[in-house]
This record gives sequence, structure tokens and C-alpha cells, in this order.
Amino acid sequence: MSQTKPKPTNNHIPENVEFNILAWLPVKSVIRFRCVCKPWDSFIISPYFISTHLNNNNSKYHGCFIMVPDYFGKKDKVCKVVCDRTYDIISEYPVPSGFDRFYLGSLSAGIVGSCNGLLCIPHYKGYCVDVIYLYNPVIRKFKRLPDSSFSERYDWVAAGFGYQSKTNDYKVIRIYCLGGFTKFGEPKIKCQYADVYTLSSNSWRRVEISLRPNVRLHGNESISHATFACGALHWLVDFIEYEDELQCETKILSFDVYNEKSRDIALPDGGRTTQHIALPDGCSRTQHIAVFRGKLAFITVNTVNYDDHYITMWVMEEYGDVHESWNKLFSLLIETAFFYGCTRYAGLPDALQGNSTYVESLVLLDGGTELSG
Amino acid sequence: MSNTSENPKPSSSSAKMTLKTSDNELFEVEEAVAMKFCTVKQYFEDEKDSDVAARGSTTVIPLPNVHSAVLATLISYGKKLPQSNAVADNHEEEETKKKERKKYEQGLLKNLMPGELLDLISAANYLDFKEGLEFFNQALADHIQNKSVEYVRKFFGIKNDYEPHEEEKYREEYAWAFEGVDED
Repeated sequence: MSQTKPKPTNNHIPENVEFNILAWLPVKSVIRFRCVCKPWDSFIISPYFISTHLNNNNSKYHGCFIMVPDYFGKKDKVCKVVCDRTYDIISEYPVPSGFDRFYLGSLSAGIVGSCNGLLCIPHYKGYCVDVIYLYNPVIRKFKRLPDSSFSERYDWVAAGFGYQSKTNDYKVIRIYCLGGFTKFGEPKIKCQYADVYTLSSNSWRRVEISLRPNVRLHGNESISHATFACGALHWLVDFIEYEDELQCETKILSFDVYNEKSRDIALPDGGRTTQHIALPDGCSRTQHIAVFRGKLAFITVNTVNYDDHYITMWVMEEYGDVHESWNKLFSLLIETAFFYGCTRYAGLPDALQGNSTYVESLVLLDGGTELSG
Repeated sequence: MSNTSENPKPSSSSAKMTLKTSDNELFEVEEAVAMKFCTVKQYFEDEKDSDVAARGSTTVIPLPNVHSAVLATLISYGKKLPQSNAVADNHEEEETKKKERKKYEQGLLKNLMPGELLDLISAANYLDFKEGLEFFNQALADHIQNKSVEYVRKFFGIKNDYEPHEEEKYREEYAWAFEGVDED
């Protein structure tokens, strides 16, 4: 612009004109301009504006990742938003000192998930979830979830964080699997439950996960965090069934965030492991699920001869449809055996841990607690 | 009985409409471009319904809230947008057109004063010109994003209705949002 001093306009500017301009500003500017006048402040903290601003950001910025500090006791207490193509750091948000005292002594479990600029961060004590937080690093607001009253001992915990567009709401899910084996080696089947937290009601509910009878779930890892894609949360899980003999198949457990129904998705043909067969020396195999360009993706990394690593990726076309099926995208030789996540270009950012996709937003502006310092 | 002026042949690709601004200037615009102004489109469709087909495309659509200088810029911007009725370009042509448009947009913004941007936005809002609104809103947002609260108040002619202690409290709490702001 050639002129720096503003010229006050004579015409009365309709409010929606001003508000439409606000919706294209970066978050930091929006927060500052709450101070302009009271009508602007009221409008900025309205759910309508927060959604509009988020939609604009989603259309403008494609493909950013956020890196959170490993555990918040480290010196470098900064959340970094990174471009997924160049891995350039776009912005950094220092974590206020008031937050990190919650993390002393906890496992570094990273984030459960990231939706619309909100991070879901668990605090673990041993393998138990102690407290869960929702955190928006850009506006420095967090919400401590109430403790769920359901606390039983469990074998395995799965957690997920998802967004429900139909009602503009957020949910945190924890799945517990209780089981064990009888002295004869038969699995004791107990029910599986999901504890569901809903942000709008700020409360937990228990939902039963109904699968085929006699099916028990066990996670590949003792704590697993979900992949949120197509409106559902997904975990890689072993389905253990005891009819005449023990059957164990690795599948994807899917939990629909809106209707809270769960189902299982079979892995693609080329991706299924043959259980209980030892791999030859120098060979190993890992399996992962991720989101690739909005679709659910299944990835295997096979290592042969200690050094040759092959990555294969399938994506689920037409999710939820009768014609749901896996489409194999590629199989490539790669340098490293570690898989952290997908970018839009299927890169493997081996230096990026806590690799959730990220968009800056004002979510939680109207309800969170301030962080100072 | 017969029309003294020629009735232009109805042809969807080169049909023109006439728009009249607040300062009584007439603009002849291709239908494809004018239809991007949804207010105009609505007016045109209403006219068609009310049985004035005999008048052909000589209807003059009044725009009492839009000044000629502003309309000229909006029409010029509208022309540079991909036309809905154009033949689909191949990828190369599309890329070239995109580059041209970017260059045009940069040139346009360089010569515009911030106050003029606001007039363009108000007009685009009245005309319900969605692509224009998005572009000019973003341009003005870019201009004010690092400005101070005082600058923004002056620019939009807004009176500060906060008590001094209220404002002071907010500035302290959100000190990080007030860092790195341009000097007025």
C-alpha cells in the first residue's frame, strides 16, 4: 500500500463487512483486535466466527504438522508448526511454564490427536491415564478434562480424539479391554467398553463396544493413539477369538465419532501378517495406520537382510461404502525403517515425532482456561 | 411501433448487460461477468420472470450504492477470473492464466489505497460478488494484520467503548498478541 496513515471513511460500514475481514486474519491479530471495541470482542468469541475463521484457515493452509516437545520437562518447551513439504518451521509457540508442571515424571506419550487446532494431551502415571488436557497452543488456552469415574484395571488402553462436524463438537475416547487367560490357556472374554468424553457437555459416558461374541481385543502396543479419518477413530488391534481353537487376526477397529458405533475393518490381502511364524534373521515387520490426503491408509514396513526396508501403502477408497476396498498405492525401497506419519506427499519425516497435521484456529477461545507466563 | 434501435441478436456468449452506478455512469458488461455479481443475477432473473422478454438485453440495472470508479475495478477483476462458460483449458493454459492473474492481482493491490480497498469490499458485499470479496477481504486483512488497535479503530471509524482499566487488563493478559506490532 502506498499510504500508511489511514483515511477515515465517511460511509457507515456494515458490521458484516468488518467481520468478514477479521475472518481472514491470523490468530494472533484476531486476539489483539478483541481490544478494538466490545462488539468486535463479542463477535470474535462467538462459535459462528470461530468456525468461519477455521474454515478460512483450512482453505488457505494445506499440510502443516505440529511438533510438541517430547515431554514438557525439557528445556525446549516450544510447539512448532512445520510445513509438510519443506519441513520449514512456520511458527513457534512457547508452552507457558504454568502447563509443564503437569508433566513431571510422566511418560512421553505425545499427543492423542489433533483436530482443528486443538491438541489432546494425556498425562500418564505408569500405564494409567492420570489427566487429559485439550490444548490450543496458538491462543494458549487449555481445558482440563474432568476425571472419568470409571477406573478399573485393564490390559490395554486405546485413546482417540475426534471432531464431529454435524454438531461442531469434540470427543475424547478411551477404550479399555479387560481379559486375561484361564489356567487352561483359554482367554477369559469380558466386555469391552469405550469411555466417551464430549466437550459440549463436559462429561464422560460409558459406551459398550459391541462386536461379535467371544471376540476380545488386544492392542499392538500397550498404549495406542487413534488415527482420525473419515469421521471415525481407528486403531490397529488384534482380534482374538476362541471357538475350537485360538484365532488371532490383526484388524482395524473403527469407532464412529458421531453415532459411537464400532466395527472392524479387515487389512488388505497383501498386508495381513501370518501370526506365530518367526521371521528369518535380519527380517522385521511393522504395521501402521495413518491418514493420507484425507483417506485412511495402511502401511507396512518390511525389512530384509537387516538393511533393505520396503514400505508399502494402501488407501481405503470409498470409506463406509458397500464397495469399501483397499487400493495399493506403492511399494518402495526406503532408507529408514521408522515410520512416523504421512504428509500430503507421502514423505517420511523421520525427524518429526508427534506428527499430527495441524491448522491454527481459535477453537477453545470461548471456553478454555488462560495460561500465563 | 417498431424499435428505432437494433435488437441485438440473442447469443449467450456475447450477451451484454448495462449497469448504472450511483454517479449515473453506464457500464456495458458481458453477461458472464455480470452474473458473478449475485445481486445483479438476482435482479436479472426477477426481470426475466416479470415478462419483459420483449425488452431483450437492453435492461439497465441500477446500482445506487456503487460508485463508477469502484465498479470499474470490480468488473476488471471479474474479467480476470475463470469464466464459468469458457471452454475448459488444458493444464498449461490454466497455469499460464493463473500466473497472469497473480501478476494482475499484485499490480492491482500496489495501486490501491487502504481506504479504496474498503470501498471495494463494501461494494462487493452489496453486489454479492463472492470471489471479489474473498480476494479483497484477504488483501485488507493482510494490510491490517500487524497494525495496532488504534490504527484499526481509526481506519474503520470505530469508537473505543472500553474503560481504560479494562483495556489495560486485556493488554497485560494477552501481551504476546501485542508483540511485534507495526508503529503507527
